[in-house]
Amino acid sequence: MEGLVAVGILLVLMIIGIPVAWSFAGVLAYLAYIYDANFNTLMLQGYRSIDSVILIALPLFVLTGYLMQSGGIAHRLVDFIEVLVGKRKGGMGASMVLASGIFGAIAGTSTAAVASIGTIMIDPLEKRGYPRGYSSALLGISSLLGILIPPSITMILFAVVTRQSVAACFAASIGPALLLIAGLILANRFSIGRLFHEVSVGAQDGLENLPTKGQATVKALPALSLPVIILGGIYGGICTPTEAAAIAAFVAILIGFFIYRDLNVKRLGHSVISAAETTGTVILILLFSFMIGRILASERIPQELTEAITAMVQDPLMILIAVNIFLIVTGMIMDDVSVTVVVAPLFLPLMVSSGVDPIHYASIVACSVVIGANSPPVAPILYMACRIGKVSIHQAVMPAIALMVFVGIPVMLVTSFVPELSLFLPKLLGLM
Amino acid sequence: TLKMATDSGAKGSPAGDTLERWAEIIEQGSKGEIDVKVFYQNELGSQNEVFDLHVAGDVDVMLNWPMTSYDKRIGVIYTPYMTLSWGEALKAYSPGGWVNEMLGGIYSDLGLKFFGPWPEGFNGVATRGKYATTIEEADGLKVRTMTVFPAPQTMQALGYQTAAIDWGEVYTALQTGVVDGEAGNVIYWDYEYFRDQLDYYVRSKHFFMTGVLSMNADSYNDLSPEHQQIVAKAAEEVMQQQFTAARAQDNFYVKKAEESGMKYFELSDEQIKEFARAAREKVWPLMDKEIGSEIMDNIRANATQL
Amino acid sequence: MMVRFFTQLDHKMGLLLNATALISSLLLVGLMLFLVAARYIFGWSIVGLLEMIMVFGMWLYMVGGLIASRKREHLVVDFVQTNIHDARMRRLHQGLVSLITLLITLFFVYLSYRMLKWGMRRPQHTPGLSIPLWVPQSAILFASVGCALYSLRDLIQCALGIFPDDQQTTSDQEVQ
Ligand code: NA
Ligand code: NA
Repeated sequence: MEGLVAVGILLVLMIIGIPVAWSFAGVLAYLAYIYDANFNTLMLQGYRSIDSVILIALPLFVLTGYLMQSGGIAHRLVDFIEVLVGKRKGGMGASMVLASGIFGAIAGTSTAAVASIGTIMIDPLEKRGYPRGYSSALLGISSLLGILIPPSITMILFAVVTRQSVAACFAASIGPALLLIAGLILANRFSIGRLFHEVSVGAQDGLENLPTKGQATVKALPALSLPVIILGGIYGGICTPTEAAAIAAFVAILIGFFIYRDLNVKRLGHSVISAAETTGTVILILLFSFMIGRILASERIPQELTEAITAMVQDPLMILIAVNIFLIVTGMIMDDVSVTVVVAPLFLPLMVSSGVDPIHYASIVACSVVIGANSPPVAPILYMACRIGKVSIHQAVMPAIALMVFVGIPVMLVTSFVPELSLFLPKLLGLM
Repeated sequence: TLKMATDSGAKGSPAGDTLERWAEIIEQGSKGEIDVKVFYQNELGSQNEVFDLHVAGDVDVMLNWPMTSYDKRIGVIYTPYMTLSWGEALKAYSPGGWVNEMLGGIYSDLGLKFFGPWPEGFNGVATRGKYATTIEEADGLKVRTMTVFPAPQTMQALGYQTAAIDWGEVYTALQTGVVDGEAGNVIYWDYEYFRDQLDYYVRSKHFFMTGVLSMNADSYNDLSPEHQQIVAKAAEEVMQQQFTAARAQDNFYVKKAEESGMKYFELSDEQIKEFARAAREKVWPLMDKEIGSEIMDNIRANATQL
Repeated sequence: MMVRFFTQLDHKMGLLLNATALISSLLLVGLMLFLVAARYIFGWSIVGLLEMIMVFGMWLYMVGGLIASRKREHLVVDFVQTNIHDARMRRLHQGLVSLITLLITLFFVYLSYRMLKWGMRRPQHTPGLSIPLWVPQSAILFASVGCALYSLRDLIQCALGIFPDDQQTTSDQEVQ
């Protein structure tokens, strides 16, 4: 009951136009009041939640994203992509999906992809006729490939809490990731001509003088070295993903100043401050949703909901469906970390007794996080995508829901009912 | 209602089982008058957060791994090579033992009632590719340690390079070779979380690892004397169980680790003493500065003779 | 007079916030690079470097949030706002939003204040460098107070009939 009231308050505050961060703070005030929270420790818990080394990758990758734009890196990359995908139908949208997948292999979080890919691609996409709301929604869900493609902080958290092998969990979600990539590219292709019209290359200013494939590739090489440096740094054992984020920002500055020479001190300052502002807005939302999650967890609300489901349904198939629904619904109203470490593990015993392998369940949970992080009202990744895409949230909500319904949820269902999709790779690698 | 939590140990782990049993004894002993709500690792937040809640009284009863952020003196528990054998360690940590008394005093200054330790055993260094049984062999091995003073300093005294890496990033760091190993835990943690990444476990024995069973003092004083008795006795019961079970648990996980392909090394007395001499020479003087000579003199007086 | 004073104050505040964001961002990148270089190239492990990085990170987060408040660029679901065309209704709506935001940010101030007050009773320090926890935590109090003041500004401007959207031009004219 209190939970429903809280969701109601959140919706009302957000719809009348209270900034999202303050809407969360408002709900927090309500929950703190009705559950008599301890004010000595409430903000302390919030502070602890955002005082995380892993989270430091967020400002750094946001900064890299801005620097890629102001330093001319984005521009060269986009030229390169334009030349490569040519006039293929839906090519630019597909490129964003694939680029997000590549970023997913670089970073453990999805925010990196939102910041970097979004800053680079949303403007060019608009030039090609993609509505900003649609692009932001596509960006939101594509960026969550970062959760399915290892390394993934979500999978690490899940494995740690449920005592499963991290490597096996990593390998398990690769299958669903490939399925999601295929689904998104198909959905994008299908949207063209139905939701909007793609403008062909050449009809637009600047696009008719595209460089040749060779020229574009040569010019893009320094830009393309960036993912190589990040990946090489991580897989070459030089740095952690968080540290790689700092290296990425630094290299982006170097390339911008000395190779493309598009960057100057003034533009650098401007990028840094814009990045700080974007980071700040996202962090405040995270801060308050973490605190809401903490109150709910200490009142055992997720746990009680779980028990209610267990009491209602017994058939294994129905249980699997019920857990899917439950994960999606909690994902709508809670942040991904709370879902991963508090809610999802509660169902593990139930899943195992219904014949679902824990590693298989890990990839189901990962899929639910992909959906949850994009489903309002608590949709941090979608909101961040809107912010990066400079578009109001209500313009992105419908495309986001459509992508959830036609791609996200089907991928989650296939993942749930075709265990081999998840288990093939871990078995092949001898991890289980 | 009492809120009971642990910062390390999921449901079904040795620590998780202890909580479950502790709660059960309290509920049965009070004939249901005390209702205990149990929260496992991460359910209420990170290690820091749960300990904050404990100090503030939001978590009444806790099995915690000592954190030095509130009081540096808690770091005494991480004095390298205080005791070198199970017998000595258990004696020092038992009620009436010298480490036990020292910890009890520090906890009470934090507003916590110290029931007793929950020993895990001697720690070691788990690595990949190479391993070290001497200071010379450790040269060039880069290991992740806890950030608590003097964990990195101790590993450096033993010849290792150290790196501060967040627990959440350790797996990836091992996988990609940012570090060659994870130092400072009993074998359970390395087996449970990193067994596919690690090849060797050398029992360097630099710390005797233990959790602490404690209760917020205000919560304790709010209970009736009978209920106080019930909680304290239940704590003593699970503590006694752990004193006898700890070695068996540790051996059990050594076997499991070996079965999974990890190579396990016990060191000879001579090897341990070489490590101990180096660590005492380099780290103990630092500890004089950090936690005070009074405590360190007490340790010098009681520590195992080399 | 008053307007001039506040405009100048706002300008100075903007410079201060931007400078803080700039410095903490650059230090964040620099220290992180140093951490990698020290470990990978020289094999050094520098105690407490991550702690310093986290302190600058916290200030960066909070100052960033405050800059967004100053510029009114927090993420908003602006569905209602864009659909109100009547000027009076719009003013009323903005007044309501500013008022609720002010109340909520005051709650934020209270929470941050209670955190610091408790922190004075049970002080904590970072393990490596013994940095007092109030150093990063006060960033949160700073941001909460700042955000509350900016929402008060929005409320007052709304009461005076200055629309936030064209506030920049209005205040510029008044200065002249
Ligand atoms: Na990833
Ligand atoms: Na959501």
